[in-house]
Amino acid sequence: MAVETAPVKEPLLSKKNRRLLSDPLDSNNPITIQVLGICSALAVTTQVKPAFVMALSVIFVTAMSNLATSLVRNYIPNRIRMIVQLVIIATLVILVDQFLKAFVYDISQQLSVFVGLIITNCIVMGRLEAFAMANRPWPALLDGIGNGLGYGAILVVVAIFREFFGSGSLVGFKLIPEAAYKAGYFNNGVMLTPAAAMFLIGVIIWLQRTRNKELVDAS
Amino acid sequence: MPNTNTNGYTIGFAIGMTVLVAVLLAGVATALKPMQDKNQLLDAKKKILTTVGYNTETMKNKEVEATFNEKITSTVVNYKGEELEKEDALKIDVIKEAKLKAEDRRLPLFVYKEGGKILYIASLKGSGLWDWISSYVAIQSDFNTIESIVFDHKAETPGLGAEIKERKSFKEQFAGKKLYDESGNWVSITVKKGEGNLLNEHTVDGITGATMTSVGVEDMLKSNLKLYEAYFDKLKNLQKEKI
Repeated sequence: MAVETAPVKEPLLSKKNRRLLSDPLDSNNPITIQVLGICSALAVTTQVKPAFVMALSVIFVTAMSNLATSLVRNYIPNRIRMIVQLVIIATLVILVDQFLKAFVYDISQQLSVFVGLIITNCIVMGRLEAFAMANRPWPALLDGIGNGLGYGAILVVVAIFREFFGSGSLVGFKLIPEAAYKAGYFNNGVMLTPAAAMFLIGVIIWLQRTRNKELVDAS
Repeated sequence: MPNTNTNGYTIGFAIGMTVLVAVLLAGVATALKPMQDKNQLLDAKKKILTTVGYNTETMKNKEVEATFNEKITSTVVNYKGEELEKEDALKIDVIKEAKLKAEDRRLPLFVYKEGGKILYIASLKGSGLWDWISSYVAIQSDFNTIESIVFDHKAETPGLGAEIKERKSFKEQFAGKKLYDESGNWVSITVKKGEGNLLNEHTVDGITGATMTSVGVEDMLKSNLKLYEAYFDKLKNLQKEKI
């Protein structure tokens, strides 16, 4: 468990706090560097729209559960802390789902398939354990938002490739004209399989580490 | 601050948290249930109106309610073709009914009358890859030709199985397809796998990468739509008598 630093009064958007938002976008990306949340990155990236919805949901859940956990972090018994974290996440997701079903039914229909995927997303639990348990609420909230954004960025990039090459469309709009299909072009079926997502993420990891040598693990 | 590592505190915390969360979730679910049920009912009405040709996305809720009340009547039948007087089609949960044996199920049927056109809309449940799938299928008064179909599902994969609900081109394939062959045998609709299939009036193309869901759709129509056959035969005979 991370050691809690002595409380220092930080301005709300100090450099340190801003880095909580920006680091997970690149140098500490949850998918490509922390290697978390891979499962859903493979499952929901066949198209851009569900990838985007999933990203928004994860941003919200990670941020809120980071906040909730941080608020009660000093009261959680150590031996059951993972269970407590899971309860916080699950409760949050179920509450959100219930409210959506009551007030914006159409959106809840879109989201209900994601609910299971969000609760089991390693990123959420990973950040609770690595950050929220040892940091104050505001930084925890920012960390949650930042990691959600980093996750979302990768998801949308992978989805753009998979939807375009696998279905010839983007956000549902057909981009490749019928003429191209008639001339012999065909959609890449492999792109619709999770294997393709794995390859794409591998390529992103490779490009990221080529660009920033510091990220290469010293083995 | 109490020592959080003692057995007593740990057990106490666990119990306290469980009770708190249980009360919170149960309370919220109960409080919101009336609104959720209302939404679900409205959604069912929207789906039914969609199968008979209305563009419910542009309609206001009040309009949906009014149109539904005006144009749609309903009945509940069983597999023997008998009408069940005391049942309300809108109150029947086909997901729950599907757990009963086919002989015991209550089958909701909606009827749309406009001008000289009559459409019969059945409410079906099937099994997808992960959980249930459902559909409303509107059938023309020859009890053979499909007018339109809409799908829903609980947990199919977004971008794959979930496409049965989202993808217009998949749903539109069903329009005009026939359930009986030339000799009058029940063949239902076959959902074909692979690309470049030669389709006829009993086949549609499946969704690539969603084999199990597509199979689920096929089975749902083949087994569950067939349960309405006795009632449809009854109506067919009534039609002949009128001529």
